[in-house]
Amino acid sequence: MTARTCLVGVGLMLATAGPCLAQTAPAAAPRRPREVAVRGLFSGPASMGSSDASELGASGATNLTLFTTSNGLGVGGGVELLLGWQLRPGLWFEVAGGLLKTTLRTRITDDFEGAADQTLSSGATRFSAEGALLWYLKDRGKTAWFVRAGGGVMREAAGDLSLASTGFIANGSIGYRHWWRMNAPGTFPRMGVRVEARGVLRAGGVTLGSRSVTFGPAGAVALVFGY
Amino acid sequence: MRRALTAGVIVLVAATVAPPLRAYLKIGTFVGDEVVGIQWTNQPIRYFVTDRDAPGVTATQFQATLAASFASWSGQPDVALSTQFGGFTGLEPTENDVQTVIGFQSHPELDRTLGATTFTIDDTTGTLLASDIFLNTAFQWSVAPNGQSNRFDVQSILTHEVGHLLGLGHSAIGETQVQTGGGRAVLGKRAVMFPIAYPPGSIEDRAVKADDIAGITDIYGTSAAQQELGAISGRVTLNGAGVFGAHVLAFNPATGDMVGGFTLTDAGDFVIAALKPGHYVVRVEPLDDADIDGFFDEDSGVNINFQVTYYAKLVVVPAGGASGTIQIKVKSK
Repeated sequence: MTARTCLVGVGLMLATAGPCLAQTAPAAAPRRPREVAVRGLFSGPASMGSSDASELGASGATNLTLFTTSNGLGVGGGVELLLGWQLRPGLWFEVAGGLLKTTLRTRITDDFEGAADQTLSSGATRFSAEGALLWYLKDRGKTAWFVRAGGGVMREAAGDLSLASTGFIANGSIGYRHWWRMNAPGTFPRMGVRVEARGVLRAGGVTLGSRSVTFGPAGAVALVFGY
Repeated sequence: MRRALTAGVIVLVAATVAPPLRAYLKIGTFVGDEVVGIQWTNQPIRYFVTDRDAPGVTATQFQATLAASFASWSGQPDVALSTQFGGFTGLEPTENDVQTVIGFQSHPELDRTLGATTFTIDDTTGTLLASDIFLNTAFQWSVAPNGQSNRFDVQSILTHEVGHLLGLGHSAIGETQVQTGGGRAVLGKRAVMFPIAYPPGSIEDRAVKADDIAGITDIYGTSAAQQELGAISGRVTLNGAGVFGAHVLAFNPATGDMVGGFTLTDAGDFVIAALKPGHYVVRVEPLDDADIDGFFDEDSGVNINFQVTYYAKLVVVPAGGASGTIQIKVKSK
């Protein structure tokens, strides 16, 4: 075994042929797996709190409420592009950039002069960039459960993008990955889908109502390509 | 040619008195056929205080309180206003002396008038030359730090009148209740410039509110304010025709601020300026919580025969810009 190894070594390293027991060159480290994905996002409603149009009495305390508003984000949808690197088996780091279209909603009730309750809305757009860690809990090869936690910055714009504000966004999710193909020839040996349910924490951005921090549900479906 | 225009702006205990001026969010005067907003172009605004005490309030106390009232307005961010106390004087408010004189004066015949502001205006240009304020000694007054029951607070009422002196008209952000003995009582308000005062003892009107700040910033705002603040413009119609004199309220759910304006053309056009950027609920209501002549000329044709109506969308106000014209259709009562 030793002699054979020595011959191979000489064959590979003619220019530096030396004693048969010379150290062999290390094999090239295998490239860490990477993934690229296109993710469709669904954003659920999130409360931004209530706010009253209140008028003050002689003492300075609220004496009359002209109307009450309940404010929040409506449902929305968007798309996200992400790139992932395997840090070690089962643990991945991802960067993602996304765009989400949603609505801001205000429900008006209890008008002092009897106007009917109604809901007002306005469109909003969120641009986000985030980093995340993803951990596969049970990777059975073709299928796997995972948890994911991420955070980053966002820029939210309202209306025709004339009003914009920066904020922070964080999310935690649990999900399931399924490879449709594995070890296939071509640029992307692996291709599959990832489905996840998220909780999204949002701070800053476009504000409406008494809360500048909101929490709401979200979901995502991603088409994943591994290489 | 100069002429004095009197009593455009009056604070009342429980009723209003007809002003000869077109009093909007900003006070206007006619120059020819055109309405021009009045404002002080020469600053500091130099004023004198009548050397007269009232029961419970010396002239010196009055002067110190007046300075605090001026500061309530001039101390606002993004407002370029300066004033200067010229000294005590034997001159009377409301005299046509082209001096700005402020002080106590006895008007027992004005049994619901706490104070009034008059103007001397060059009616060829609309330039404000002088303005006088009197507080009516027919009422009991106080300068106690925390107010005094059964006495009206000098600083609160002066802050309202100084708002007029600076060019602000009456605000309609308030709700009132007609009293059996005549006049109206305030249920609630959110503007020092609402035409009806709180009862004696209240000091709430010492502090200007969002509506007042928007108004003063609209008139005396710095160039920075023009970059930082925005506006809502629109039109209110009833059966296709413009509504004149409708009260339009802009409410910011994020801050709780309320700022009002009026439709000021026969087409029903309005502009609410000096708003902080954000989303606004816009509510239109008839001007029925104070006597109309506290805001407009009696013959101006204010329409109050329509229902309270909200604009169907949240309105976005950008920094340094306007919402774009919004159309609000109201229905008859």
